[in-house]
Amino acid sequence: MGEPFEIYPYSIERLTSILVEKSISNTDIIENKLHLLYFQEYFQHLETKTILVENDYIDKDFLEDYASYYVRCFSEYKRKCTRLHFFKKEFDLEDFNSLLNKKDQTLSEKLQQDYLGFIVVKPLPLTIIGRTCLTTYPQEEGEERYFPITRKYDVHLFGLHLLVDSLGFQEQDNVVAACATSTLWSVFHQTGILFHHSILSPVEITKAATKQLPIETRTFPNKGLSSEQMAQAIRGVSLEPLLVEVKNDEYYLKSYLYAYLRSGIPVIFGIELFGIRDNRYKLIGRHAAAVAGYRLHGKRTTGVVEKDVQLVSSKISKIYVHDDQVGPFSRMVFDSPKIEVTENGEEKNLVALSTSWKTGEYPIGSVKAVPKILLIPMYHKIRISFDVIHKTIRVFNSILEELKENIAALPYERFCWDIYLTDVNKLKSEILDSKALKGNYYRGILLGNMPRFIWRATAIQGDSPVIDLLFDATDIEQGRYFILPIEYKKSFSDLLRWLFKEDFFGKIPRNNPAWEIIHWFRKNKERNTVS
Amino acid sequence: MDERSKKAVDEAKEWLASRKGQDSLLQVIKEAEKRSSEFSECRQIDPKLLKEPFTI
Repeated sequence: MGEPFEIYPYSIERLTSILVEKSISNTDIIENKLHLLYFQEYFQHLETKTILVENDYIDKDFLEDYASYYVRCFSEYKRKCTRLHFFKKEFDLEDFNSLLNKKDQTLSEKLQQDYLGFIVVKPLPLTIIGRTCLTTYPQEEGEERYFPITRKYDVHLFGLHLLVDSLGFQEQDNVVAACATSTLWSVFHQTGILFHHSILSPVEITKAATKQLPIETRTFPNKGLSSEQMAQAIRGVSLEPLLVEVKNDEYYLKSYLYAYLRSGIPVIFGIELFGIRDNRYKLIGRHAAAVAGYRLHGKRTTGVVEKDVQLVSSKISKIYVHDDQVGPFSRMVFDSPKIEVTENGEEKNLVALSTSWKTGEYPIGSVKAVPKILLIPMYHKIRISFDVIHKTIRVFNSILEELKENIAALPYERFCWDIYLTDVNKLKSEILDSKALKGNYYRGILLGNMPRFIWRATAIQGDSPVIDLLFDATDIEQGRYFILPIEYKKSFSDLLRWLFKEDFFGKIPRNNPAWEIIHWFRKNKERNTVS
Repeated sequence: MDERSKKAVDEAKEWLASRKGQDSLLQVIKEAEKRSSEFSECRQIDPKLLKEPFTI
C-alpha cells in the first residue's frame, strides 16, 4: 500500500498526469476527453491552487457498480478509487502533516474556507470521472446566476470535516450507465434530500428503469434509456414523473424550467444534438442532461414581454447543466436564432441552444442542442402543475391589461410576473425575513395554516412586489386552489376590491380561471388571512 | 385612494357597465384562455418521443 495522500500545486498538466496514473487510462485518452478541457477552464475560474490526492478511497456508488458488474469480468479491476480534493489555498505536504500531527490546527479552518470540492477517479480505462462535487461558479457583482439545485455535501478527510455546496456529477461508464442514467443519478442526489428518498447508484437506476419496460436488447452494457424508462426510474424512488414536450417553443421551455428550478426541483432535459458542417445541421444523437441552475439577463424584477404577459422566466439567458459528456454546471446558452434542419424530408426551424460539446467531427461551437422534453420528478402531493397556474395568471393579467388599456389613469403599470413553486416553510421564512413586510397583517399570514406546497405568482412593478397570489399546489384542478393574496401595496388591492365588486365580475362564470381570485376580492372587504 | 385614482375607478366602473366595455373584456378573457390552452398541450406527448432512447 502506497502513501495515503499526496499533495501537488494545481496545474492542468499535473491534473492530467494524476488522472492517467490513478485510472488505468493513458495520456492520449485523457487529453482527448472534453472533461479535461472543461476542468481546465473551471478550475482556472475557481482560482484553484492545490490538489490533495486521497488514495484508496472507497466510493459507495462505484462499489455498487463494481459488485454488480465489474467484479465478474475476467480482467481484474480495482475496487478502490482515488479522490482528488481541490483548494484555492496554497499548502504543501509539510503544512498538511503539521495539521495531522496536531502541531498546527489553524490550517483546518483555512482549508474549509478554501475548499472547492472533489472528483472521484474510477480505476477504469476510459470513463474515469466518478462522483464529482465541485462548488458552483462564484457569484460576481451584477450577475444574476442562480444555482437552486445544490445541497451541502459533507466531506471527511483524515478527520477533517469539509463542506461543499454542489450537486453530484459523474460521467456515464457506457456499461451500467448511459447519459440518461447519469442524469437521473444527479437528479436523485437533489430529490433524495428534498423529498427524503434513497439515492440509488447508477446500476440500481438502470435496473429500476428497465424492470417494467425492458430494453429490446440486453440491459447491460447499457446504451441508453427512453423517456418512459426514465419516468419508471423516477417512480422507483416513489416520486411522480411530470413529462413535458417542449414543442419548439422557447417561452414554454423557459417558464417551465424556471417554475420548478426556483423551488429546488431539478429538471431532466432531453435534447437532440445537431452539428453544423457545410452550412447544414446534421443530427448527432439524442442526449439527456440535468438542469441545475440558470442565469437571468438583467435583474429579476424586470421581465420580457412575450406572448401577452411579461414573465421573469423569459429573461433566462443561460442554463447550467450537469452534462455527463462535458462537465458539471456546464453552460447552454440561448444565443442563437432557430436552426434549420431537415427531418423526414421536411425543412424545419427549431429552437436551439449553444453547447460546449465537441466530437471527432464537430469542434466546440458547432454543436447545438434542440430541446425535446423536460422530465420533472415530483413529490406525489404536488398535483397542480405549472400550466394551470400560468393559465390563471394569464387570464387575470389580461383583465388588468384591458382595463388599463381603456382607462389609462388607473394607478398601476404593466406587471412583471414571477411564477414558481415553493413550500410553506420557505414562504413563511421569506415573509419573516423581509424588512418590507411589517405589522399584524403579516403576523396573521405567518400564523395561518397553509398547504405544504404552494404556487406563488408575484406581480412586480418597478423593483417592488405589488401583490402575491398564492395557490394550493396539492389541490385538484377542479378544486378551489386559490389560497389568498399577500397584499404588499394596500392601495392596489383596495383598487381591485373596488373594481371587482362591479356586477360584470359577479357574472363571470365559475369555470373562468381567474374567478377564484376575483371572487376572493369581492368577498373579502378587508385584508384577510387564512384561518 | 387619492382623487386621481378615485376618478379613474369611477371611469373604469362606467366603462365596465357599458356594453362596449363588457364585450371587450369578455373577448380578451376568451382569447387569453385560448392562448393558455396551447400551453397545456405541452403535457400531451408525442408517443414516438416516449420510446426513443437518449443514447449519447
